[in-house]
Amino acid sequence: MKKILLAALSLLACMAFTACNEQKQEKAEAPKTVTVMIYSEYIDPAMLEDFEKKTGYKLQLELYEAQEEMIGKLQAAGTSQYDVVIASDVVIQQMVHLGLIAPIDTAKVPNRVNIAPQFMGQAYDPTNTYTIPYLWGTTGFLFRGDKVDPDSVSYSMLFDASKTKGNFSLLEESRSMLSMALQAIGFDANSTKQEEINKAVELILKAKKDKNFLGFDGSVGGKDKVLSKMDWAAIVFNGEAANAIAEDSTLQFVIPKEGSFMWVDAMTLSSKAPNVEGAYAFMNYILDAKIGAQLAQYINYATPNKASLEFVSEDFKNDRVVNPTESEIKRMVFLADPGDAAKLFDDAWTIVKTR
Amino acid sequence: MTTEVFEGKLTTRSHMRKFGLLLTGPGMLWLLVFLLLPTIFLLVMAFAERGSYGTINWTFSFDNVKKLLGFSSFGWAADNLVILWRSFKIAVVTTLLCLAIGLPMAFWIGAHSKKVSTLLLALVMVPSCTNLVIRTYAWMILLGTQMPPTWLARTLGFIGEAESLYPGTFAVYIGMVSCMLPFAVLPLYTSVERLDWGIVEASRDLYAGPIRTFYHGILSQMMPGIVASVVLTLVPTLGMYVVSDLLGGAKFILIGNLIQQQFFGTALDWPFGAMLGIVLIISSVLSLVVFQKTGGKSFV
Repeated sequence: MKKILLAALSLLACMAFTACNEQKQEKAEAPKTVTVMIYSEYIDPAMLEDFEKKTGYKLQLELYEAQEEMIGKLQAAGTSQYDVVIASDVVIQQMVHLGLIAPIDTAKVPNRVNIAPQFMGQAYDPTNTYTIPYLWGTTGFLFRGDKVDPDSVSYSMLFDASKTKGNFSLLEESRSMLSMALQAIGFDANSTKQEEINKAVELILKAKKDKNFLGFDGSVGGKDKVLSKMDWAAIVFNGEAANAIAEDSTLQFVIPKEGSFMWVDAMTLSSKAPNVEGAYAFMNYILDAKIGAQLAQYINYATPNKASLEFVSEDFKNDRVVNPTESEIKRMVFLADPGDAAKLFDDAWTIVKTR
Repeated sequence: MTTEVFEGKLTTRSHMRKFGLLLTGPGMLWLLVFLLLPTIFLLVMAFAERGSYGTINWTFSFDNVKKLLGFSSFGWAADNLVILWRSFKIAVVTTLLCLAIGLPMAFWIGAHSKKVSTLLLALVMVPSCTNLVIRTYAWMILLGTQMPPTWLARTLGFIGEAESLYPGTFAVYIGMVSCMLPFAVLPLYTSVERLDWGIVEASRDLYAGPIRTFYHGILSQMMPGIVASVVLTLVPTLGMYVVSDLLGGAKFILIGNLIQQQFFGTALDWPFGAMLGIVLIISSVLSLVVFQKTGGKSFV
């Protein structure tokens, strides 16, 4: 019995040693890695190998499902574990304030010239120092019914009880929904004036009393309800709309004529990035014209890379849901960080959800 | 001094103190680290202030109490109190429904042979093995527009032609009750099993009617089980918001939503969230004390 135990022990020791050795070797020989924190299923897997071939850096992905989760991980586990963090425009200012991301040395990312002008000097990063856009999209109405001119649809379609033709859902996110209600009335989507927000609250409360109002839903939930014919209309992001229309071509997606908001997911530099050079290499790689085209078509989201438009297929380019027209882009805005007015939006949302 | 007899080494008071402390030590430590300290931290945070971008300013203030009472950026309104009231209403109704369904169920399970009743109890528990969100999604599909329950309710005229059972109040209660029922049935069943039927017999012998027999002979014996099942259903339902959001269409919020909104919403107001958490703890403890004092005593 003792012998067997001894043999097992020595075997275990051997295994441990070799394992250690292997690990050491790997560390010495393997190329330096670039760790990117990114939404799950948000990159073409073929790029992992391609990136290593082109730059010599190994690409490692850390996945997350929600913005709060990403910020929580950065705050708890520290920023020194990640090089590049993909973050949505609405949380950029907060991340800067919390010291989670650092300014980007723009000279190290020469492909920056490819970025379309509409992503420069925007509210989420007025000085263009913290972000490099990754993919972007829009927000609008997904609905069922006769074909209409996409430029003629107004917010009254949902907010005027005499015009709703069936069940509808509104967006379950305070800042986004209130900004759309502000635009519906004719105010600035980024207004932080109390009396204007108050009017937006009243507008949503009025819509809540409509017998066709089914509830508040996230973009995916709204899409599912329209697809299952439970809803006639819902407010969704264009990515969800494109998926829904691919499944059921009778559906339509429009950007209301009073405007709505665009969103962008941007690459940011972690404030304690262990591999800063590698991080810049990744940003530059994504901004390459051909890679940008490949990424956009794989994920089916619009690319912020104006040079990529040459390399995307005609079908993709003409898909109005994914790639909005000039006039649509003109009536959309990015949501600015509300700063201390966040409190105002939160109080307003409590009223919306209580009465 | 009286001598007390305890198990094993715990034979005298001094032994009892020494070894008892040793034995209860780990449990006490657990409660200290995972219950008492966090609660104290929550209490301290509740009187702090929100800084910008979700940071916390550790200055003592009563702002959160004022906010709780309804003073917001939009002037005074009863919204927070309405939310509290609504959460209570749903929790109490859910608990009553669970008791109303759980009591007959417990008796029915108890009436079977040991073998069968074990199987039936297992069947009651099995749904809890599935994740709550998944079970809730199942209800969403089941109560949807084109499903038999909605069709039946329509044919019988309970709902209008274009309406469906989900989303709505009915769906919320279905989801809540189906989620909490196992927790209500188990303690009730234990009580049924321990019932002293001799008392029932005695009551019948003394010519008490069925109602009096049930009230004095059975219900009073079952009080511990009823209290336990009320505790196990009322407290969790007070803080629950996933079920009500998914099945109710997220039209109205409960205290659970309000707390979640403070920690993950736009405001990132952790101190106010802590204050709401404290209120939730106090109100659930208070309601249980009141219940035990009034409900419990009326039977004895």
